[in-house]
Order: sequence, then C-alpha cells, then structure tokens
Amino acid sequence: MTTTDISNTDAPAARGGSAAPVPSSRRGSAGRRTGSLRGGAAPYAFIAPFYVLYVLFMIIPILAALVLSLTEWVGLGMPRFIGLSNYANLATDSSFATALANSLVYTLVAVIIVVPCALLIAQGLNAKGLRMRDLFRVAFFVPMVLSPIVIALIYSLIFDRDYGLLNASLDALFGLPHVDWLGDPTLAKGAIGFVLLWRTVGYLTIFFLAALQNVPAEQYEAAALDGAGRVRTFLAVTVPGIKPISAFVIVTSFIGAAQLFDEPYLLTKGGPGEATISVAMFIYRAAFERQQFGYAAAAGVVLFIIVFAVSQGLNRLLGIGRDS
Amino acid sequence: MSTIDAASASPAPTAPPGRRAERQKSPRRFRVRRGLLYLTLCALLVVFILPLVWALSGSFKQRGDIFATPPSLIPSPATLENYRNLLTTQPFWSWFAISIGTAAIATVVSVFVCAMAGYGFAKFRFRGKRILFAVMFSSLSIPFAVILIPLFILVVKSGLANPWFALIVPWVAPAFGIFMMQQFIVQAIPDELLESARIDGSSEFGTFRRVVLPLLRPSLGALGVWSFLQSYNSFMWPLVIISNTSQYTLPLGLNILYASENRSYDLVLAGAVLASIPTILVFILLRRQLLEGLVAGAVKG
Amino acid sequence: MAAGTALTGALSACGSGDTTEITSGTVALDFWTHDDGYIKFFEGAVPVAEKGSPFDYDLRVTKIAAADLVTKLIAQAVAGTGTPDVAGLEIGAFSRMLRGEIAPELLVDLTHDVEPFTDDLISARLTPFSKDGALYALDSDTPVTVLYHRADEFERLGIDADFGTWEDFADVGRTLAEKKGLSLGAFAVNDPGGTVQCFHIHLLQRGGDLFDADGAPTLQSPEAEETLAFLVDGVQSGFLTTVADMYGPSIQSGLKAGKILAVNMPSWYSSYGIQPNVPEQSGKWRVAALPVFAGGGHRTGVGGGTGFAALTDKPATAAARNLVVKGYLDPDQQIARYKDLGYLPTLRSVYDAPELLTLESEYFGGQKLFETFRDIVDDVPDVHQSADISIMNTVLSGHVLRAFKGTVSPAQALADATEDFRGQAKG
Repeated sequence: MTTTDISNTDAPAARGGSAAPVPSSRRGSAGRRTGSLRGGAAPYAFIAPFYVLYVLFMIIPILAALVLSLTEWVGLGMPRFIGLSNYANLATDSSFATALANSLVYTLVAVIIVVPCALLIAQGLNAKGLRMRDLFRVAFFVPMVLSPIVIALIYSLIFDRDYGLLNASLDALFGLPHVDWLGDPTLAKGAIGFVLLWRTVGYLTIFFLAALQNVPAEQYEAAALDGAGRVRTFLAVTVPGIKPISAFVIVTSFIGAAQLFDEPYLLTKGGPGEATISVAMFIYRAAFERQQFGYAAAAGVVLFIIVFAVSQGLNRLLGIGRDS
Repeated sequence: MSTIDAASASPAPTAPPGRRAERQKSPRRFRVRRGLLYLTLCALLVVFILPLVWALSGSFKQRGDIFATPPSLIPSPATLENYRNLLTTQPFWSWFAISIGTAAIATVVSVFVCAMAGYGFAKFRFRGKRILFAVMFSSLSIPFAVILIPLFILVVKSGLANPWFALIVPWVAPAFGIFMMQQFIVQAIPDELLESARIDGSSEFGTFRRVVLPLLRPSLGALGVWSFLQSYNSFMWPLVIISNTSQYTLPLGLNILYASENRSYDLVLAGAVLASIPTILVFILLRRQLLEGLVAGAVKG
Repeated sequence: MAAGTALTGALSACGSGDTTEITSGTVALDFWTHDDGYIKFFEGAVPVAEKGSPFDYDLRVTKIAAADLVTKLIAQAVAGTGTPDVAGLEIGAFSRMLRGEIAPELLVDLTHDVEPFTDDLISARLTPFSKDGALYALDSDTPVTVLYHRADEFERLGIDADFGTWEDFADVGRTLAEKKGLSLGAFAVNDPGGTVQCFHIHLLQRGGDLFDADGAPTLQSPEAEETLAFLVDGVQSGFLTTVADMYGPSIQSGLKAGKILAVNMPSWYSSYGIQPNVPEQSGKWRVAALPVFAGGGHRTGVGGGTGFAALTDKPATAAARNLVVKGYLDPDQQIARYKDLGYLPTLRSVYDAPELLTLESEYFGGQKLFETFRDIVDDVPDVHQSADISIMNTVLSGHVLRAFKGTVSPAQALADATEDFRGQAKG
C-alpha cells in the first residue's frame, strides 16, 4: 500500500536551488499527521464525483466482463450462458498460449531491460556538472509525449525490409543485405521490444532521476570517507535510496508491457503468423474481428488475474510501505 | 518535492565532496570517465533523436525521395507538398479538432474530480477511507484491454457512441491522478490554513475553492498535462468505438492513411509531425510541472 | 449477480421503435461504404432506381474502413439505432456476418429479387454472400485473376506470355531468376490477409478451396498441397518475389525497378496495385489469361469482392432493397460500373456487350481487356465462405511462411494449419 508521508520529499527544497512549484518553505515536520479534519459528510462529497465515474466506467465494466465471460455472444441477440466453456477453450487454444508467451516476453523486456536502462540513463543524467543536461533530458523524455501510434508508424518505415531507413543505412554503410526485421518471428519480437524500450525508457528515467536526486549528499560523503568504491557506494547508498520508487517503476513498466497493443497491431499485425501477437491484441481480435465477445471477455479476465497477481506480488516483493 | 530541473536551475552545481576528492586524486581518470559518459549520452541522443529528425525531414521531401538510397537527412528539394496534400485530401483538421477537443474535455473533468477526491483523501478522516483507497490502488493494475469489451457495450448501448462522449469515457476517473493530487495536497496545503478558514466560518467547499485550489495551480497543471496526453495519444479505445472516418482522432486517421492500399507514408509523416507539435510544445512549456506531478503520483502509488 | 441479469437484458438487441415502412415519396437513405468509387457509382444509380419506383432518393453517405464497417454495423444494431439502410460489405468483412444469426437478423434476404436473373447471374459470385440458401448481398464484381505482365520486357527477353501450364511458367521463371535476377510474380508475406489471398487465388484456380460448403477447412487436399508446393518452389527459386503487401512501397519498388515482370492478381488489381504504383509504365503492361495447372482446375482464380446489402426491419427497407437490386442488376449499370470503377459485370450476358468488348485500355497499350475476361469468365471457380476466415488468415499465413522458409514441408504446413485452425475455431 502507500505511505502518506514520504519524509524525504522536500529534502531538495531544503537543499536550496529548488525551482519546485510547491512552496518550499513549508517543511512539515516529519511524521505530520494529515487527515486531521473531520468533516462528517464533507469528505464523501469530495470523493463522490470521482467514485461515481469510477464505478460507472471501471467497476461495472469489470463485473460485466466477468459475467460476459461465462456466455457466448456474437455481438447481437441474447448472450447464451455457457458456464466456464470459454475458459476451458482458452486453456486449449494454442493462439492464446502464443499470445500469453509473447506478452511474457514483452513484460520481461520491460522489467529486465528497460528498467535497468532507465536507471543507467538516470545515473548518467544525474552526474554533477554535466553540460547540455537539458538537451539530453528533453531528448530522452520527448518519446513520452508522442503518441505510441506515431512512434509505431515511424518505426514501421524504419524497419521495412525493402525500403526502410535501417536496411537502407546498413546497405549504404556496410553493404549488408536487407534484413526482414518485421517478417522473421524472432527479429519481429526484438523489433517490437526495441520500440517498447525507445518509447518508455525516458518516462521511467524521470522517476529514477527524481529518486537519485533525493539521496542525501551526506550519505555519499560518508561512503566516500569510508573509502567505498563505486560499486559499494551504489549498493550501499543508491539502491536503498531509490528502493521506494523502484517498485513503482517496475510495476508501471510491467503493466504497460502487459497491455501492449499499439506496436504489434501497427508494426506486424501480430505476425508473422502469430509470432508477435499480444494478449491485448488477442482480445481485440476475438471481439472485433471474430465476433466472439464472450471469449474475448474471458481472455480479458485471465489477463486481469495474471496482471493483478503479478503486480501485487511485485509490490510485496519490493516492499512498498503500507499504511494509508 | 524533488525537482528534476534543480541542476539546470543553478548554473554551476557543486559536485558532492566525495566526487570532488576523487577528481583531485586522479584528474585523468575522471576525465576519461567523463568522456565516456558524454560519448554514451551522445550515442543515446542519436538513437532517440534520429528517428524523429528523419521523420521530420521526410515530411518535407517529395514522396519519391523519402526512401531514396542512400538515406539523407536534408530534404532536397524541400517541399510543403505532403502537408498540402494531407490538408486538402484528408479531413485532417476535423481529426485534430476531435483529438484536441475530447482530450481537453477529459482533462477538465479528470482534473476536477481528482483534485476534489485527492483533497478528500489527503485532509479528511472518514469511515471506509482505507477500503476505498485500496480498491482504487488495485485498479492501477487493471489493463485497459480487460474492460475494453464491456465498456464498448456500455457506451454503444447507452446510445452515446459519438466521439464527444465516447472518447472521454476511459480518461475521466484516473486513479493515478488521485495519487498525484493527494501527494501535492499533503505537501502544499498546511492543515493550519484549513483550520483558520474553518474558524472564519467558511464552508467546506468554500475553503476548497478559495484556499486549496489557488495553491494547487501548478499541480493541477501537471495532472492536466498528464491527463491530456493519456487521452490525446490513445489508440485502442478510439479504434473500437469510432468508425466513421469523419469522426476519427489523429492516431486513427494516421493509421488509416498508412493502412490504406497505397500506404500514403508521405502524408503519414506530415500528419505525424503536425499531430506531435501540440504535445511537444506542451511538454517543453510545462515539463517541470509535469515531471514533478508524475513523481508525486509515483511516490504515492 | 444482479449485474449479470441486467447485463444480459441490456444486450438483447431491441429493434428500433419505428418500423413503419416508407412506401413512396422522398426517402433519406443512410448508405455506408469503404470506398469512394461506390459512392460515386450509387449516386449515379439513383435515377435508375427511381425510374418505375415510387421513391425519391436522398442518399446520406458515410465512409467507414472496410473492417470497421461490420463492427460499427453490429454495434449500432445492438444500440438499436443508427444502422444504415444500405451497406457495402467487403467479402472478408462479410464473413463475420455469418457467425450466429447476424446476417439473417440484420440483412434483407434477396433470394427472390434475383430469381428473374437466375440464368444470367454468375452463380460463383452469389455463394460468398449466401448463408443457408439465402442471399444477403449482391457482389459488385467478378474478380477473376489474370496475368499482368510487362509486354515490353517479355519481348526483350523472348518470353511468350502464353505459358501453357504453371509448370512451364515455373521453368521459365527459374531460369530468369537465376540468370537475370528477375521474377514473374509477387507474394505478400507481411500481411496475413494478403498472404492467404495470394495462396487462395492459386488454390481456387487449381480447383481447391480453403473451406467446403459447410465452412469446414479443406486444406489437407492434394490440390492445396500441390498449390503450396508450387508457391514454395517459386519463392525459394526466386521466380516469385516476396513483398510486404501487394499495394505498398515494397511491391512498388520491385515494379519500378523492373524486377517484377508479372503478377497474378484479380481484375481490380490494375486500379489498386499497378496503375497507382507505376503510372510511368503506362503502355508497357498487358493482361493475359493465366497458365493452367497440369493437374487440373480452372483457367482463372478469383479474389476479393464487395457485396451490397439492404438492412431489414427499417422504414426505408423497401427503398434500400430497390436501390441495391436495380442499381446492381441493371445491365447498363453493370457496364457503367466497369467503365467507372473497373469492376467486372456479374451478369453473364453483359460480357457480350460490344461496348465493353471494343473498349481499349490506354494504360494497357490499347489492349481490349474484355476479350481476355470474357474468355475465362465461364470458368470462374466457386468460393466458399466461413465465419472463421479471420482465424484461417492468421493461422495459415504463419504456416505458409514456414513452408517458404523450408522449415516444414508443404503437406506438413497444411496439416499444422488445419490443426491450429481447429484449435481456434470454436463457437
């Protein structure tokens, strides 16, 4: 769960040099209790608008997905109750197994490659006295504001086998033969993984950068006085300092990759064959290309259970503070 | 709150003493390290910027030159033909208006409800707070694809599948927005301020409007930018809910240009550039608030 | 689970409230299609449909991407409002209407309307738009496949476009690929629908099909095996070039560079794949009847098509039905459709119209294309539809590509595809 009080949040403000928009002079004493106001009905009035929309567009759809997943429905007429048949069919559907396996690959890329890359970039950007820092930052963060579909479109023009920029460059520079980046099952997964990295690494860097800047300088000084080397300093000072935010970054990256849709849809249509289809694409395809709404809903429920369980597991594992 | 821009705000940040000691001990080793760092960052810079520069440059090339070999980054001759064709042959401004308009509506609604709910969670104690908060927290891990089908049916059945309603539905109640706001409110609004407003006899909503909201302006901006991006850049939801080409959003429009028989990549590049201008501008202007808002939400979540 | 009952109650399609049929006067007709050509055509067909009918048409056109059209159609039917009166359904999208009772629920049965034309209508174009003996849409086209080829290059290389059999074609092609690096065909590999279509048009010509009349897969047939073996040979020896898809820059570069000298594609391909991609090669292309398979089959294959349907139980249903039938089954309209859009008539008698037979195509160096079309149209194969064509596209494309790579034999690829298909095609 979450902590209401992150005692180091305004540390940099205290260090000065802060351009933070929050009034920096207000250092609440660490451990200040919030929620001191008891307003009878007032708090409910404040949270009501959100919860009305939330129930309508989130809770009800989830319950409806559960119900729908027990039926067979072509999108017209009455849904037919068929119990757990959809789930039984999913269990034996090789296509769904493929989609799950592909999504697993994407999430592994997101957690094992993208997250460490983001940390390394953040370390680099956090180096003292770095020139052109702003340029680097803007460059790395810009993909975050671009539409994934715009990015996928640009990359489909880059990866194209016959005329793409990548093959043309390799050809022009080294005379290499054209590689079928999106037409080979393994390369296509790699290409999608790369686009995922390119699109999300900057976004995740932001969080690590903030966390790194929050590690008190005194701790580094102390480590230096102890004669700790880079690795030991990193393990003893940096890692504990960024631990709280790491959990968030890892879970965010995982969930983002688990619902990947745009890249496979646009770059490969899930192909060649089904080599790059993701679970989200499987759901889309079942409902909107095959008129199997019940089946699609069941696949959604399975995805929900897996993602929920893994996220909770990651949160436990990475020990997010719990109290609210 | 930590600030991402702290370093750039002060022209010559001092290195922590530990590093400084190291620098004095072995200036050469430090220089080599520094050199490697710049090299790596510049290599990354190329990886991040090149595709975008190439796309930008391609949008000014003639269709036949876009994939000329060897590839070049300078359009010659440079032409506005792609932009002209895009704007004359496609309802581009309509896509643009729908994208911007629906994102703006979604933003206003979500900022409003998140600010209120964030305030409720940050400054009040009430029965059920823990459970309500827990429910919301767990919904952070719900992939959109899970609710795609029921949401589709819900919107279609309610007869509101026109873009102005349908496109804002998924973005009006973002759980992440509440974490962001709550975190800001805890930091920026001291309880004493609220107490004194209350002693002055101000109503709860009056306090919220007159005392809380003005102090929250920067964070509302952060949440607003974040919300806007969520909606403006979304693809899967518009893909299933909007079918009439005249009601397309930008991503849908660009997708159809590319998916059509003749693969109008010339128009796609021009469209991609035009579609990205607003978000890049917003990012450059408001990046400080946005980055801080993101971090606040993360710390909370 | 109160939500459950509420939900199922909410999902049953409620008909639109007002279904009093308009029998005369001005009718506002909502018309959906994915292609500008059809818009133009139907606007031109309005006077024809009005003649001898009590209706004055006011067409309200909405353009929707082919795949979205069915999604939207069904969604609006669920919402109980906002369905069109006339919809153009691309053949691949139409197959989705075959699932459950969607087609009978939404579309007018046109079986009686075509009875007067039974002897003249090319029956092969009715099958794909029928279900359980009822006809739900009228095809716009008889999309026979022909051999588009570069006559100038053929002459230079001393190749005769009359190959005889595909086997002879392959012999010529292999030599050409080996000696000059040129190909006599293209095959789409990055787009599942395109991959299957390239395979399917050859398969139909060979006398096979993807499905039987009941919609069960028929991939494990000698015909399919022979067809795939031929294509694998083509790709591996290079007389077929693999391209991302048959329309975009990837085939364009091959055509432009003169590396692809021939393509086996349907009649509409000239306006979608050849002319837009290589306008500068005007005058150099010709059309010929395809070689035949020694093992048997037809003189031509068939691919694509778009059926127009009238929506049932709506105030304008009678008017919509009248527009589709009159607009599509009038011989003069069929002639106009070919001239304006390049779609071949679906009435056999129209193929003898002098107006079409004498028509010279400028792009094809003054060739009278219709002579070629008329020669082969009587041998156009039947196509069987299935609601599961989308599954077939996904599954089969992957296995065809594996066969191309040589990792599995053609027979094995088809067996695997059949197995995967059965694994996925449920309910």
